[in-house]
Amino acid sequence: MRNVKLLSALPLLLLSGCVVLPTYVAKPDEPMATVQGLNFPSPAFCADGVGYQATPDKDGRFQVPAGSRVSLYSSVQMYDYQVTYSCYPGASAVFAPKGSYFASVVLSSTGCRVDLVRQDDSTETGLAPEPSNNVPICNPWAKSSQKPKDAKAK
Amino acid sequence: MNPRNIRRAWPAAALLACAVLSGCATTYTDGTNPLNLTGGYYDEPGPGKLVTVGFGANAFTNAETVRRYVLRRACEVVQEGGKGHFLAYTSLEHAAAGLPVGEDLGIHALGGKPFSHIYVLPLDEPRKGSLNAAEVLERVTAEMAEKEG
Repeated sequence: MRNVKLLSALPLLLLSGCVVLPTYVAKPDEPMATVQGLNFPSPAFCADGVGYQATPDKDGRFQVPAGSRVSLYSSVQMYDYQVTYSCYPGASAVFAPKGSYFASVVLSSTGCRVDLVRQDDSTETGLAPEPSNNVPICNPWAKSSQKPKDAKAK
Repeated sequence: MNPRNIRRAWPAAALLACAVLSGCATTYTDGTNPLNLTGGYYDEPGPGKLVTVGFGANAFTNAETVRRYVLRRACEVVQEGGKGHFLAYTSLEHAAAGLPVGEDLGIHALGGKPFSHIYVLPLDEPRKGSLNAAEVLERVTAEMAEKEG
């Protein structure tokens, strides 16, 4: 009887759209950049058309490939007793090797977005705009991610 | 206490708890206190040379009150750090681009609950677009006292 219940739950799981993303394994000596997520739940990214789950440390820092365009996403889901709010904002950039960045989800009454800036200790705020910052070009949770045209762009 | 009395008192206690939790606007309290269930302020150093300041309120609190509370906490944080002036930014990209907002923090709401999340750059000296922490603190405190009084 118990097995029947488990079997009946299987189609629900398959149809629910849950996607388990792989973890990115960097090649030896592959250039990487560090992103620190601030208010950036469930980070994920797309590199060369493939979606990956980011693995942040206790401070929210995670590594992304540098030198080619990477799309960065967050999965925001908030629950209240009367309201459910969810959004999946993203941004993309060509990260500099060994560069450090901050990413933050900006929530508003009308939606949400990702703010992505470069850490730069030489400026007054310690931040600088990232010139390659643009809209995301690949969704890590999509079934078939589209390979970005400028994947090899420097 | 007699167990029967406890059973009789339980509905009244539950009603009182509901009234306390839902019937009042969020006050100026530390939102990071786990015993505080209705929101409040928070602040932490970073990112970069900024300080993050915010306030989350319940649905019984209006946006103007949240704006004043965030400004008040920002002023306190700046003064606690030994500075007298500050620039306020509503996003990391605005901070990186050097676009302060003054006192117009653009309060948002989710599910009817207003909130504000800003980044503050403490300054020693005033400059274009900066706010005087002592002046703003005195003004918003007086405005809140007038509203509550």
